[in-house]
Amino acid sequence: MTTFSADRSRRAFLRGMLAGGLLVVPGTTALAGCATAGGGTQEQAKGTESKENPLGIDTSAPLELVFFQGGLATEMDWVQKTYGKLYPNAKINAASTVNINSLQPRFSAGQPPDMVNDSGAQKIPLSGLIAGGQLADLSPLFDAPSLDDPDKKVRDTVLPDVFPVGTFDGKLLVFNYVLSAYGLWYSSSLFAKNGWKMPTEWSELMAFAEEMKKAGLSPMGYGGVNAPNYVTEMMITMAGKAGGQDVVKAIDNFEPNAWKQDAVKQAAAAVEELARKGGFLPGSQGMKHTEAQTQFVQGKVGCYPSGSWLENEMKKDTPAGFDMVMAPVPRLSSSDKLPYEAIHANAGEPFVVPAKAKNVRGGLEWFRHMLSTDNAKAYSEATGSLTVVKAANDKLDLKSTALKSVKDALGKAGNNTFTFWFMDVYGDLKKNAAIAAMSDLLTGRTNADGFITAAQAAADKVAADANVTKFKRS
Amino acid sequence: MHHRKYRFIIGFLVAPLALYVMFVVSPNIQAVIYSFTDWSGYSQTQNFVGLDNYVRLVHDADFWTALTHNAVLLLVLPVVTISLGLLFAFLLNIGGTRRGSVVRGLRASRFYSAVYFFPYLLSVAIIAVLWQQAYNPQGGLVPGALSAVGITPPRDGLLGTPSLALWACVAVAVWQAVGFYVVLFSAGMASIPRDIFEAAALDGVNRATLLFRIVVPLLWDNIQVAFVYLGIIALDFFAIVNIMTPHPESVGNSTEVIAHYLFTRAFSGDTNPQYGYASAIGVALFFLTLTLAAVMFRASRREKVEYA
Amino acid sequence: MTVTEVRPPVPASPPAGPVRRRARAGERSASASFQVILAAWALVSVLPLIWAVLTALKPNPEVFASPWRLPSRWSFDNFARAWGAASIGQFFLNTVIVVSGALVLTMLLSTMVAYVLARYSFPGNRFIYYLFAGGLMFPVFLALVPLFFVVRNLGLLHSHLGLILVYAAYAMPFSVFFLTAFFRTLPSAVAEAALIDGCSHTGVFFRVMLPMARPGIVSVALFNVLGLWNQYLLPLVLNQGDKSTAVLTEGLASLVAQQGYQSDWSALFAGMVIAMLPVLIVYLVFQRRVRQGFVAGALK
Repeated sequence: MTTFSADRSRRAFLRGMLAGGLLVVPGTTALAGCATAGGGTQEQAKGTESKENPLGIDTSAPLELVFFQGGLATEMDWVQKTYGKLYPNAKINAASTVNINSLQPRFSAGQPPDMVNDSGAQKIPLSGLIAGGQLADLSPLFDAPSLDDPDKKVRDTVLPDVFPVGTFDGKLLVFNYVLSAYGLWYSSSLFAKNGWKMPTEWSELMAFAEEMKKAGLSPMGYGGVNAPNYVTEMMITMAGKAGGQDVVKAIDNFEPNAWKQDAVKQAAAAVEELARKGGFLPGSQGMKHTEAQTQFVQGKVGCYPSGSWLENEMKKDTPAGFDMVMAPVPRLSSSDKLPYEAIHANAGEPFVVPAKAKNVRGGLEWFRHMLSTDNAKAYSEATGSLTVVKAANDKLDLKSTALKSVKDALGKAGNNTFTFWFMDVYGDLKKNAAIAAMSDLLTGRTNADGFITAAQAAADKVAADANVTKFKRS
Repeated sequence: MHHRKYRFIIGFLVAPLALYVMFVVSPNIQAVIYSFTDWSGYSQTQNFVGLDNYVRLVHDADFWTALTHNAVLLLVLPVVTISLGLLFAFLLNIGGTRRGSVVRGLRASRFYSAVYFFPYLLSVAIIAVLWQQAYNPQGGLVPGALSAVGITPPRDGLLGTPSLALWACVAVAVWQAVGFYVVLFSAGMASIPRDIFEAAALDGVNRATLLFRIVVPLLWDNIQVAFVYLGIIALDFFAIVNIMTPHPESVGNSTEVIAHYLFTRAFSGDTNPQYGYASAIGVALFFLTLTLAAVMFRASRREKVEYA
Repeated sequence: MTVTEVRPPVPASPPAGPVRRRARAGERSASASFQVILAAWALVSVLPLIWAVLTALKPNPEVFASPWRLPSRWSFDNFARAWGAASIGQFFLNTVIVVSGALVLTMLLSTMVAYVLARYSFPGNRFIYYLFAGGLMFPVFLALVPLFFVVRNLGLLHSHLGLILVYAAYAMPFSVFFLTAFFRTLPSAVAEAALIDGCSHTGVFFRVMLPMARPGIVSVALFNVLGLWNQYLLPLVLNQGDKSTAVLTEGLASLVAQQGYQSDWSALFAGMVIAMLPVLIVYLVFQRRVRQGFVAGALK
């Protein structure tokens, strides 16, 4: 053996490594033009369409699912069962993670999974996926016959809420499975014990706040470290009730001076008043939302603004007999455009099929199975959340007070539900208005006027930012 | 002879360099290239945009805020940690001096340095989670301790008050690091010749003089090493900030640092991803660190010349 | 070098009179106040850890009730929940495999580079040195996405080997930087003598220089054990939630993140205690050697 040959083999090894690893890396090669960030589109699995297989999936193609491992954590075994029964040769590979964002390189490499539940604090921003053309069009799914009844299209089995929040620039790209409603939460047993009733107007709430304080409770709480935007949600809902849906649409669509509409100003003034009068649990700004919620379920906070996932999120801390229920947020005044029963509700919990997935059709078919009545019902039973499947919600046996109150609130609201998406779609607006300016308002570092000015400035900045893709909502 | 030497050198360098270039250097070079593009991280296309990202950086108020905080950390973190480390090491090893007697450490010093070292062993992630809970305004350890000694904790919590949040984070970093420097400086002090202390003791030198005039100059090399270690921590500081105040904007941006701002722009689930811009932030951070290292290198060289 | 073994005190001839007595009283109060300072910091160092252990044993509703109160019921089941949620057993094994593999690799490669850089002058020496030193300053985030592509193109995603190689590569800048400094401090006479005696360069390295450099190598290795054990970002991107290769920090991170959605506080504390214990136990057993080892390299 000579050192020379050893060296040569080392060099050959290095060359091999370079060829294998370094040089094929995307991005380094063809930057001048429009290099594809990933390795190009993969061959998509396709089978023959039939009555049982309306989407024409390849019945033996494996299906890779990535779930978010959060409050609703489940890999939907019941759906895996019905899918596996219909396509016994398709291997289902389900995984859960709290950090959906770690899939980013797989998206840019053009090798994403076949279905992603894009949720949680470390989700992939939908705006990025949409603007990057990473999401498959879901309309074939909604035009396909439903699993339960071949004569009925999937489109007709779901609540209409699915469509506005999932449609971007005319294309249906995001499937929101869960029906979420927002409001003020309280313990019905605690309220009954004290003979309390949730007020329906803001002025009454302010008087009620004093009563709660006398009983040793903080009237409201929030988690300032990561979720002061829960209060922003409440505030915008109050503005929407006062001025009607167009108020919140104007904000979503970056209409000039949208934050300076009277209804928004009044709602901000209401929050300022409550904060100034010590209506929020001391220390809220220094807590995470789950910490603040722990105080709530321990009976130290009277009302808590949140969405319908709250009960499930606090399951492990809530004492028996707490009987959590949700009420609509109060009206700003009796001259509000919408009735007290109006609530902020939407289809939430986004599921997507990546456009470059190997098995796009399989992903869509997976959704079709999620949308069967029995599977949706099983989901609700496991997670305590309603789904967008009408029939499943009707069949649901409501044991929990929380779920029942959400269903009642939705029923009473009827057509008076509305939604907004600026916090979900425009990160910098959430950051600078819903979190930064709201934190300042809640802690007295600014007043309602200051909040409005800061929020409008944040909106103007995003509106003018060419790096942010804007979507128009209807 | 020379031939043999070069063969040996190359033989020793090839494998390590290959591994390093492949996994560390090349990804970073690519990141630099991304910094000249408008790639979002998800978009199918990326256009070469020249220096646009860097121009934007110069005009980005959030970046400058973050930079200021890193600068503050760069000063405060090493100074506080090293001061405490020196103080404790001095008390443990030399502080027990009786006047007119030979220097000796306080009793139980072995126990103390063992205990001080505990926090250094834990991962920053664990420590940050632990302290985040300890700062909880309702039932947390720190507000409880403050009340116990008669200090009213701030209403909005240490992590919810803009004037305190960054210091609350610094305290955690100091808490973790001090033990290591106690051990480092103790070792340094143990290697100082005893007769120096004996001479000082005979001259009736008091403790403060002993520490500042004799011990610190003799440990100057160790202190410089400490500055480098702590400087690296101060320029990153990501984990603590990201866990304790995941949204620095909730405390008026008072805890934003460059590494976290980079993370926000590249990976956060909330913002519009701008990988190209985030890469530019990273490149700026790199050059900042490089400048710092160069300055410290020059300083330490000058030091050596003076003492030579 | 030890921290505490100080020379025995030489009995000093006592100065006479009241001056001496006053000095003694002053000494005593100074000494006492020092003891208080030192004890206070000891308390500050361990209190949060004790609090974490205590909290890990509380039933969930008591976690934020009062930090000082003992649990009403010692809830060891918290540990079972944390253990299950974080799949500790499997992850522990993975961590041991990856960390030990990466440690051996990075120490071997780094000592080779550092030795050559420190003891041989050749064109490019400074360049290579700065290439490694510069690695200390790269923000790791920056490289994550391109790194993913490199590892993927080599077909090493979701593999122990891939993690070992990447861990080792990212531990090199620090190791090379400090080992180079260390090798420079070693006397050259022995190595020269060995070369003249006909020992090969490689032989000198393994038989003469490595044993001489042991304190520095131990020190750097210890830093690497800690750093690699706690590595979080790299496995997060390269493992992608694949449980078969996931390491402990990933398990803990997912436990932490889940608190955002399930608020099982006592399980979170239990998970932290589980993650802390192995390191603390190893430290307590070998504590003096560990502390000496850590500083040996830095002192040179």
